[in-house]
Amino acid sequence: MVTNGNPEAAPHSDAATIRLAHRVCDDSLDWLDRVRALFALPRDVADHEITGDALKSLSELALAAGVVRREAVSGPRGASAAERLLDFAWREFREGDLLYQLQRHTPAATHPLEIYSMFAAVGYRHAPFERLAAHLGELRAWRVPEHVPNRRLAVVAATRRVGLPAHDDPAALTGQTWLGGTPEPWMLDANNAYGLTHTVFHLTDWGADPEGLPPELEEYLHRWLCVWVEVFKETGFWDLLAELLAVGACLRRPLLFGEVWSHLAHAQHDDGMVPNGVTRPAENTSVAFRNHHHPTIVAVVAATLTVARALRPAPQPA
Amino acid sequence: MLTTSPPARVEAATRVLAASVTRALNSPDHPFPLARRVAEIGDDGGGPGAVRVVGADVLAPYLLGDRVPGHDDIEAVRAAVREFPAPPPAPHPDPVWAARDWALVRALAVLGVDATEWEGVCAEAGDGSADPGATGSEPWPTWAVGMARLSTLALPHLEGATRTQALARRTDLARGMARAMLRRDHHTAARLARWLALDQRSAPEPLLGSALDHLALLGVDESRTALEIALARRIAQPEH
Repeated sequence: MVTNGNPEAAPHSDAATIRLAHRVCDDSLDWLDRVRALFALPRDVADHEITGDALKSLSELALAAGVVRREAVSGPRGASAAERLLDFAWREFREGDLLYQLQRHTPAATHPLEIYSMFAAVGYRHAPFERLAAHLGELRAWRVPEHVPNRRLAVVAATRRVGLPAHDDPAALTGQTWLGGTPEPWMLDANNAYGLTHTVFHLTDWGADPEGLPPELEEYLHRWLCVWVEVFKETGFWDLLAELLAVGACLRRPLLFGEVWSHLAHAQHDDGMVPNGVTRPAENTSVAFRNHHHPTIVAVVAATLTVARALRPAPQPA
Repeated sequence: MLTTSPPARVEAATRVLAASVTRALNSPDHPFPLARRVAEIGDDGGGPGAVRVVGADVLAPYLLGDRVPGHDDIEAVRAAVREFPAPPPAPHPDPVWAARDWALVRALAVLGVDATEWEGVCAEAGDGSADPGATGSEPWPTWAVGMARLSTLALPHLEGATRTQALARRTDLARGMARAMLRRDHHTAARLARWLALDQRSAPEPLLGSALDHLALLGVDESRTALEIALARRIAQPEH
């Protein structure tokens, strides 16, 4: 058994952490599976008029389901829900053709590749898309998107996942992120926090490769992650808390925060939805969906990585 | 000058006294007549109450510089202790009272005054770590909050188990400080910064200087926070 990884955390056995995270994950997947029609993309608009939010939600659903498949620590119930969700999302993206059309329509956009890479990572491929992406990746324009630094890392990670040649220097890009600057920990705000979590997710490929995080940033997170977890646990900001829990599970020496999982499990609704902790969920599921599908998706990722790392503290790099 | 309820009076008086001690720490060449300051605040409970709240820190201008307290200054402290005695240890001993009075007695001893028999001093004046096993293994968030309450023990001459713990758990002090800053609890943050300042030369915390500047600017209207910051800065200096 691994130890908690954080000697200062309240004692909480790995078995209890695994049990809690497992339950949160299964219940979240149940809810996502039940409401999956709400993730469907509109059929009555041109492809390029589909909103970024709709594409983002569906791609995040695919990401979470892909992590469940990759880690293979879910029980049969969670695993089959994840498979259904992956297939559903791939069908909604017309088995890659929608992403291909979007990339053709706006060649400078990076989000079709970022979304496609989630599927490519778990074996769903679309050959014309990849030919187009390979060409775009060679262009000077592809090196200079006007993105915030952590988003540049997202593109680097997507390129890597799809298997295209890398032209950017991840170390230089990392140095420009909030996390890469190892800032004073009290300067974290919600916006920086999401930047930080995504820097870790992209560098470690959503926990598949903890070695992708530079050692000095691992050390920095070992020092301060527990502070931010404590602060957002206290304020009940479940969406961000779940992201931070996922970060802990992406580290070489994982920080699993067993005691905090009991708070997240307690916040989860009986139907499996994890509220964001910031806005009050509506009674009506399709209304509640808008603001609370994201924390429920993040809970799946965080819980899956937590269980995987508790069972297997040093995973094989992908 | 202060006409509200007794607790509010003490609170307001504490702000005035804390500001006075802060000024003394920041201007070491000016005299610090403690007895006169207390009298100016008022003897309707406010002044002596404030002395009790500020605790050993009222002696900091003497402990951390060349000033020597007059007999009347010591007498003002003694009168405050008599007027606001520590609660009786039975049935429930209060470790914070015990630790704070331990600090006061020790600080007075450094100034050549034996206060062990003073009326009103906590009989159990231990050093706040009567049960080191319990406090030593506490998770960092609660441990740090406990240390913040004991910040008056963070003075150079007060060696004891609490200080030993503070040295052993500097990362947790820094975590507690960062957490308090994120919670906009500048007072707690400044108190933990003060503990960090105490061993800054032997175990430097690189964030201490910027944390103190940050707290001084954000907690600009909080006199007790300002006192902790002034103490932290003074303590971190090499010459005492």
